[in-house]
Amino acid sequence: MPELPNPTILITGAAAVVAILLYFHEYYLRRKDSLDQRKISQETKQKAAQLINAAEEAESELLSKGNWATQKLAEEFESRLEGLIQTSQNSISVSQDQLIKFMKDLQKRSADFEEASRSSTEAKINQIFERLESKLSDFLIQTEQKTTSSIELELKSTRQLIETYKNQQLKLIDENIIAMMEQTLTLVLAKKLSLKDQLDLVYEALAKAKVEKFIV
Amino acid sequence: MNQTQEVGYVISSRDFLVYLDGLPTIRVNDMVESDNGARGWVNSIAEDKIEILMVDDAKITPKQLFKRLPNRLGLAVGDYLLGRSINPLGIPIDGKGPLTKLKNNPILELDQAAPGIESRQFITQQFLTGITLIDTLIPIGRGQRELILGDAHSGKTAFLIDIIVNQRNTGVICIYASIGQSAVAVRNLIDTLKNNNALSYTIVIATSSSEKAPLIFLTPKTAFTVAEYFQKKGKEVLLILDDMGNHAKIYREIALLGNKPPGRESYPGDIFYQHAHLLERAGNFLPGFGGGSISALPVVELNLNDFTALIPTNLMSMTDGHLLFKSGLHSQGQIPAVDISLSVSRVGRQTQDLLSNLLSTRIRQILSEATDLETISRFSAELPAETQLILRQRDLIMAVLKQDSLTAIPKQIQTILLALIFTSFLKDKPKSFIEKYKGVISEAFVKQTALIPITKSIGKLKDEQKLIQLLEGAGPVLTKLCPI
Amino acid sequence: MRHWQRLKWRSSSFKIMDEIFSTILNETFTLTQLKLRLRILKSHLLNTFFGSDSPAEPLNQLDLDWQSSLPKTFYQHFNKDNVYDIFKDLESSLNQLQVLTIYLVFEVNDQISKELGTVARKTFNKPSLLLDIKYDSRLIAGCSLVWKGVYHDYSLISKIEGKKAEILQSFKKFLR
Repeated sequence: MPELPNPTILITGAAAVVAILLYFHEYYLRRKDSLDQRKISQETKQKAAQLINAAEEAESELLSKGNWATQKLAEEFESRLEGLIQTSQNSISVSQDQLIKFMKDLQKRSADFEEASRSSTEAKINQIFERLESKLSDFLIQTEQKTTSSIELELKSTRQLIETYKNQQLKLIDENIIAMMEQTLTLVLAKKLSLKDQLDLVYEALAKAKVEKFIV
Repeated sequence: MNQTQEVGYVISSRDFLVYLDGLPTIRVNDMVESDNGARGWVNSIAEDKIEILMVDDAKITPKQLFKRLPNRLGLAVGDYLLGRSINPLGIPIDGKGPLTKLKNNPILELDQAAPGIESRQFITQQFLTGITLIDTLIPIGRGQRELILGDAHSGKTAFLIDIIVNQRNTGVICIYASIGQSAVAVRNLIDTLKNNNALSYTIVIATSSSEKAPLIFLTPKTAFTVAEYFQKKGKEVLLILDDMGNHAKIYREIALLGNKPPGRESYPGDIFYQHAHLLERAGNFLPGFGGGSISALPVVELNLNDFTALIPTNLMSMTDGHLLFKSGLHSQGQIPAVDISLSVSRVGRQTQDLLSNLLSTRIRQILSEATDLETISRFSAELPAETQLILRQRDLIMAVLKQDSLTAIPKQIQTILLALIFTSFLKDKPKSFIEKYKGVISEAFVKQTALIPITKSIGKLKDEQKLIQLLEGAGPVLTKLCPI
Repeated sequence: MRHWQRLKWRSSSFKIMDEIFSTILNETFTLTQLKLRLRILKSHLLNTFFGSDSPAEPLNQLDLDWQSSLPKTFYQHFNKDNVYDIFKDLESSLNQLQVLTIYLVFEVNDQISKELGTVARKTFNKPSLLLDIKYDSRLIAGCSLVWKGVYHDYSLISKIEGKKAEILQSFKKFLR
């Protein structure tokens, strides 16, 4: 008979019961989760649809607002542009007039200026010519003076050279005269002076030497 | 013949030596003239006779009449002498016509006493010869006397001509006294100077060996007289006496003929005085005594390089240094052929600027070290790097110092060339490189814009190291210019 | 000889020399003549004393006269011993003689030179003055003298040189 069940079989059986209980718990929890999940997803879907609706509304509102604003802007731009075009047209025409006036003025002035410069150039050229004339004449006079003075100097020096040469030659001639005279005297006196005369001269010289105390 | 004149009659005569009696108030160095126009000057006066040395060649008979001339032994000096050649009595020998003398040209006596110490000034300026070897290693000062010794054919005369030619445009007046050289040599000298446009600031006083001994004897006196004239005007004068050995021989001839007792080598006892009292007239003078300076370069020709003979040793003791020329160096191609170790300049160092001084000390060191090492180099096959460097530097130095005739190198270029040897640019180059490119390098430092600042800055440098550093920077420019 | 004896001998020899000299100079007026006469005297005396067979030199008349005119006392001064010494002294004292050199334009013979010499000695009061006669034809007339090394020209040519300007002027008066 019933003996005590094997502990092993007891444990196994306990474990199986526990397992079955856990499995049921688990199944139950899983079902609840999935239900929760379905609920959450539904809510999410709803909310999303709500948001999309709200966004669509806002978008259309904006669009309408934008259209209106753009139109308003475009009108303003147009009016402004009109105004600007007008002003610029005016200013262009004004400046055109100014330009034309200025050109006319310029033309007149340049014509005047040309006149004036021509007349002044003429005057200057005349002045230059006059100065040139006077300088040239001065220069000619100076050159003439210089030439004459240098020629005179040359002449003077030449004359001096000639003078010196002449004096030199005259001196030479003088010396020649004296030399000739001496020669003549030598020859003549050698013939003419007697011995006595010569001796007398010598005695005279001796006397003079004594007087001059040449021979003491 | 004047009315009253002093006269003397010949007692005896011997060649150019004449003894007269009479002439009661005659003094030494007065001039006398014989009745046939031969002139002489009074050399000495004894109690009963007067010794006359004849400068003109004429027959002298006993009892011939000699009258006293009013002028003493001297010559007229002036600026007209520049460019002319004259003999010691002032007569032109160059065939260019008579000298254009003016009436107020002073007549200076040939025999003047040398100015004393109170007129001398310390020598501070260097005399630039344009020759690298002299200007850097053996510098000469303005007012110095430097003896030029050398054998025959050792290049002395060419060296002297170079110095004269290199003085162009420096304001230095050159006087060349040719004492008893051959007429051909004098002619060649004048022609060389003329071809190099050096005659306009040179005066040549020449006597050929065929003239009478008394006339040859007077040559250096005339040279000094002319030099003193220019010195008193404040000019710097260069005086070359070529050569004093001849002068000594002529004086010996005169003295022996006059029965003066002969001394060593048969020279008379006063041969030292004859040279000394001439050389003492050179020097640097104070402005109160004219300013100017006379730099004298006496020349002596040696016999077989024997400078222990009487005349060379005499002259060495009375000059401020000497340059010894060797014919051996000349044949080896070293020009100028100066033996640096045996040459000296006692006054030159004080005239050199600091940079050149330092550089030249360094170079002398290398040269002397190289001489010591040379014997080793002959025996050992492989030398250590320092020895090789020194020997190579010595070769480079000698290549830089070689200078052809008639070339002048300005002072800055000389310094630069020598300093370049210590830079890396030239460190490894052979001496043939320098020989080839010396000219190019010298020009580069004058013309290249990159290098001109270095040349200009030399005056301000105080140290040769700085110069060497500056030149290192110039290395690349030079390498480009001198392709190997 | 003792010193004082030598001195005595010298002083006496001086006296002898002076005598001889003055005797000779009595009749001799020019230097050339003096030298000539000394020479012939010497040769004559040497001949007499030391004798030789060489013939006597031919002398001209004047010299012969002079020689014979010399007094006997004169010859007594000389003897064999002192003849050389005396002549040595005489020759050395020749240099101390006062000689007046005179340049003449004409040649002189013995007679005239004697005359000249006498006159000169009288004018200057020097009995032993000797003349040295030279010839210079550049002096046109007159003479020039040299005394103690100083030359003075008393001739006509120096006068002309001195008066050159005046002479030229007077010549030029004859120019056209």
